[in-house]
Amino acid sequence: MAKDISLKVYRLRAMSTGSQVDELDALILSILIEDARSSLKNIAKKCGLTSSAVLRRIERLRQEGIIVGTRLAVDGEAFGYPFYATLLIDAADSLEPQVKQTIRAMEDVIICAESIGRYNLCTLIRGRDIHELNNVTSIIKNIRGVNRVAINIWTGNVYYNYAKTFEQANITKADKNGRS
Amino acid sequence: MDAVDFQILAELMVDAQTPFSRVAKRIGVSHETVRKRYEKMKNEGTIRQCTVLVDGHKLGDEGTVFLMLSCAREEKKKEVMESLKQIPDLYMIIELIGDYDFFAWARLKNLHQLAQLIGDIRNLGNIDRMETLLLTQTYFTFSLTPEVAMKCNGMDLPKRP
Repeated sequence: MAKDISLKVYRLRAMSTGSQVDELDALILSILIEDARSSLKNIAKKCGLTSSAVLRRIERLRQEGIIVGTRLAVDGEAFGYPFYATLLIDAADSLEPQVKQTIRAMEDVIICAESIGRYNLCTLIRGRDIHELNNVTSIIKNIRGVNRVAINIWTGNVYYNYAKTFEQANITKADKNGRS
Repeated sequence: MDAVDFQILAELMVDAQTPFSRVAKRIGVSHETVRKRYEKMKNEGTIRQCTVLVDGHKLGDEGTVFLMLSCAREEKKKEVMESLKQIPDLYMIIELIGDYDFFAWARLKNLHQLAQLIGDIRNLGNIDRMETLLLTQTYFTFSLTPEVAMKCNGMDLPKRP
């Protein structure tokens, strides 16, 4: 029962944003998420479409803002940045916007996002060595309005699963009555 | 890694779908060189992922969940990592040193799905502490080095100047 309700919510949401994704779009998306450089010919073969039909669909996905860009994730070590850490920051509510702005302006901050939970800012930082991580952390700790910072350093053990979360089944839920 | 490798990466970090022929022209090497070096860096793991970014809001997502998990016992960490990999909504799992043992990213579709996800993780056992952080963003870009990629926080995407 609960599942049915969530499906309905999905459909409504898909309608309200005006984007329609059918099963073939979902398949194309998951192929591109797996490898953004997949050739049109390859995608066409997997979908049973012509290359030009695939191209049209990709262009539409871009136009509708479903595909917003590409990302080449490179091992930071190759660039001399082998250290990463997640900082959870508890900032005073009234000063949160300023704190966020200050942190975002820092060079070694990759992401600084607002979060709902025990901590209100979640920040990813990088460093050339452990001292640099420490420096960044202490600078953040000294920003006015920051109450507490929890640092968690990444080990090299990272597992990517981005493509799987966007597999067909996960996407088409949004639009069971999509365009045919 | 030499200067040519860096240049190839720099071009592709702006747009991962740039045709190799254009990359080759811009940095003054042959098309074949670019292709070979790209393949090599991919096989060696220097290039970890080449992907398109999808705006989850357009597909009905609410945002992203960051989960901080702490393992009850050190020797169970490997086991927990393996079981986390089986959970389809988690799209990135990172092992940590610090207060927590794992940092996982997941799609946030709705509260029902979130409850299900948290339930699934709790059911794995061996996890004694969990922090759930809800973010409104659905996609993130990374900039690894200031020299190569434009700085991007949250929603901003790299743009060719």
